[in-house]
Amino acid sequence: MNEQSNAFAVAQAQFDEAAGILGLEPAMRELLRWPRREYRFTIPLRLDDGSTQVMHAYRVQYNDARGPCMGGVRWHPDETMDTVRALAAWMTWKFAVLDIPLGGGNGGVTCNPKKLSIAEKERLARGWMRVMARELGQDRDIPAPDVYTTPQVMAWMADEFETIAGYSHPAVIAGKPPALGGSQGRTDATARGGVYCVREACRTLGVDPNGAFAVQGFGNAGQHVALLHPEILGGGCLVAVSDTSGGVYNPNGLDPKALVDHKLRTGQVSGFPGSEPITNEDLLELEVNVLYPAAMENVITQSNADRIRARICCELADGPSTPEADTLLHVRGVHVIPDFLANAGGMIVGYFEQVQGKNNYFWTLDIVHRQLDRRMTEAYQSVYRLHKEKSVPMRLAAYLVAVSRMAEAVKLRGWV
Amino acid sequence: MSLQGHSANQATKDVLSSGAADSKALAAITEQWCADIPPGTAAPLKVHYTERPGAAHGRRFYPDVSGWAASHNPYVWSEYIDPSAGVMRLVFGAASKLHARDDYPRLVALNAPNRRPEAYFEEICTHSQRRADFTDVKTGAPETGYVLDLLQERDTHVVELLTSTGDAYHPVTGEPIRALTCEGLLRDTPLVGFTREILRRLADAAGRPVELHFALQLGDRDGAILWTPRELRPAETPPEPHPVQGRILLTSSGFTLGRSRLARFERAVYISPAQYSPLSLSNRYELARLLGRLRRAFGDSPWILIGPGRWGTSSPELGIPVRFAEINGAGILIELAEMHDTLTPEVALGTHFLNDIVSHDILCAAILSGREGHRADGTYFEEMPNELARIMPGMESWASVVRVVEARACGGEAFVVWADAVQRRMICAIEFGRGRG
Repeated sequence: MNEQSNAFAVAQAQFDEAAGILGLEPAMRELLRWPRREYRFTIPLRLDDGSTQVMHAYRVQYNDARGPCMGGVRWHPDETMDTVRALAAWMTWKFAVLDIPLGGGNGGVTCNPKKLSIAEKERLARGWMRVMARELGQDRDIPAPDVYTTPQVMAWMADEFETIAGYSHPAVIAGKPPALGGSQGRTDATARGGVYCVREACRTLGVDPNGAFAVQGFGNAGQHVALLHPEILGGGCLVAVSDTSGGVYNPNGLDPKALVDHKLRTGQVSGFPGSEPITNEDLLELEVNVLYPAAMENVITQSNADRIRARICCELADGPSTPEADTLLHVRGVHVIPDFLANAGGMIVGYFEQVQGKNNYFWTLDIVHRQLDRRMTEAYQSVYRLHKEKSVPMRLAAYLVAVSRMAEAVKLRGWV
Repeated sequence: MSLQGHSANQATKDVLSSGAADSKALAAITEQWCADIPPGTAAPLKVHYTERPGAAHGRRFYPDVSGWAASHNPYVWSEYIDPSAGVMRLVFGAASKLHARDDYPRLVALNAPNRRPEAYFEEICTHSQRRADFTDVKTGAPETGYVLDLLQERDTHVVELLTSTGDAYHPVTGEPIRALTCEGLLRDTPLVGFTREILRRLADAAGRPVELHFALQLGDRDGAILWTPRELRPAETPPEPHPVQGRILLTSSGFTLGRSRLARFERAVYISPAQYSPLSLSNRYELARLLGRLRRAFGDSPWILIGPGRWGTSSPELGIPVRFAEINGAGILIELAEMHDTLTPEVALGTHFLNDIVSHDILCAAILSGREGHRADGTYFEEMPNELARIMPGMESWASVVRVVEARACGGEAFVVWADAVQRRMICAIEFGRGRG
């Protein structure tokens, strides 16, 4: 397989670039470009028809120099060890750039959850935990929800862990339902974190917060960002939104609340009263102060990057810009808040859940929002400072901040 | 009215031969069988003949539920699904939404009614019916309204049978989001067992697979659910032996999803596995976006789409990470289960977007390299003229990966696809005019 078609090879290449700029010594590079611990195991899953299917499962604890690992558990038919390694590496860098005292982890099961009944899902969740329980813990490794693992799945895992441990252990799993110690503020955390970054970018760059903004993608993150942008920035005019059905545009503004209602009632943004149609491509090229790509990967490429006219591009989706486009945007002065930073709000609330669980004391929604604001603001500012100092794109600056913090922790521990 | 044994078989054959219009006779046949079905916990089910099923709710007239059922299920997306148990699709309101491409009827495998192709409630919401058709009582004109609006004027009993809530909440009000799932109807009434049994008996009597349209009136909490048969007809079967002539390009056996058909296409898009394999992750996403632009360039003319690995995967190392909107104009979706010099992935057969595949009536097939009954003539697509640059100027750099092949440019008439849902076989060939091939 070509190196760059493998997610972990991509993660390693990104690390190598940052390590090269930072001039990390060879031993440090070797340590940080590989996971510290990997678990590969099987789960015999009893199916409803009485037969047994053996599932292949994984957990990677990428690096715990800065604190216990935390990261998702994915249930996906396409899950591979390399995907898990890559996601664990990215979690490590993300927690470091956010300056959160956690390391990165990730795990998964190669399965198609769409084919599993509810009872089978519960048995799979408990089976995964029975194998991994001895390697997990609030101070070792904290699993969190990811693709196809819902708060209910996290609840089953937490219950299985506590059954094995024999005592209450609310901080061992993140993303639990609030009734079992889940944190307030999880639902809109990704969007909220992105909007906090945008607010900081507007302040730093002198961009008018009352200007126009557009949102590509109107799922959970897109809907929340449409609602939160005016609330957090104290202004802003939503002029365009799109989803898979197409887009809607009104230069005088779209009412975010009414648009969310329309989407939930009709299943699409198209046909929203008082709007005109716009394609996804045209939306990306609108002259707006802030563009939120919140839909899918690689929508900004070298073929359209020179037509992006937004002042700030806040990447709520994973990987909406290609590396070539990222360079072009940087050269043209479009301020990119990379996905790495922009969509990290959910992770931070996962961390808050661990903190609250350890203390068995749960915060109000207001405290969660204030703490999230502080973390995102500090993270944005530290990345921005390096971006200016070294004249590198924001994405690379974020990697530099993250890798240098990891290297510092490793050094202080005397590992290298 | 009582019909037993031979007379029921003859009556069924009479209905089938009558041009599918004799729903009164069909009601008479099924009424007898209905007595054998155990009642549900929510309401019993009764066969009820009426010329025009439905009721007026304000100015809107519509049946509570319209259904289509088939004795053979062509949508075997899970190993739990027994194709011989049959399938049904349900919509709220008039039957015209049953086969609409722009909405999502509830798809029910009759041996596994609780299995859904979605993994969590937000996905269920995305793939639930949004619009319903009805007749305006005053004007007699067909109209469309939103399901949630129409349900607001219905009593709780109907809402409970047809909708569900889960862990998805309105971002403004925080209220649970309600989706049309028919969960109560499937769980608490005899509908599933009755439909399965009636299809089996009708197919036995007819001596061939059958399809049935019906309507339901849900009544009030204490009343029976009224089941009205609308139309019985033989299931569509492809001509046997297959009439495909010309150069056979693709064959698949045991790995198809979708109804039987014999269809012709002007063009095929072939993604070369050998050229796709070396692409970077970033370029694989870029290719997916390019297919979206190609789909728009093709307009409404359907095509055959052939490519390596799992269509719609979120892991580009295992297939092409398209969104459904980027390929929804394809009539046939072929998955080549081979990845050049790497691994052979498990086939997806469209399950990354099953509801869309069903709504758009797309046939999915997987071709497993080296397996008996499976063949993909990649050389043909690699060697024929590539129309990509003509259709999308500026995209020449993708020409080695994306092959847009038009039948006429290859000296053919059309690409012809024959598929048999029962045998789960598919054959695709380029068809030439008389005297060729």
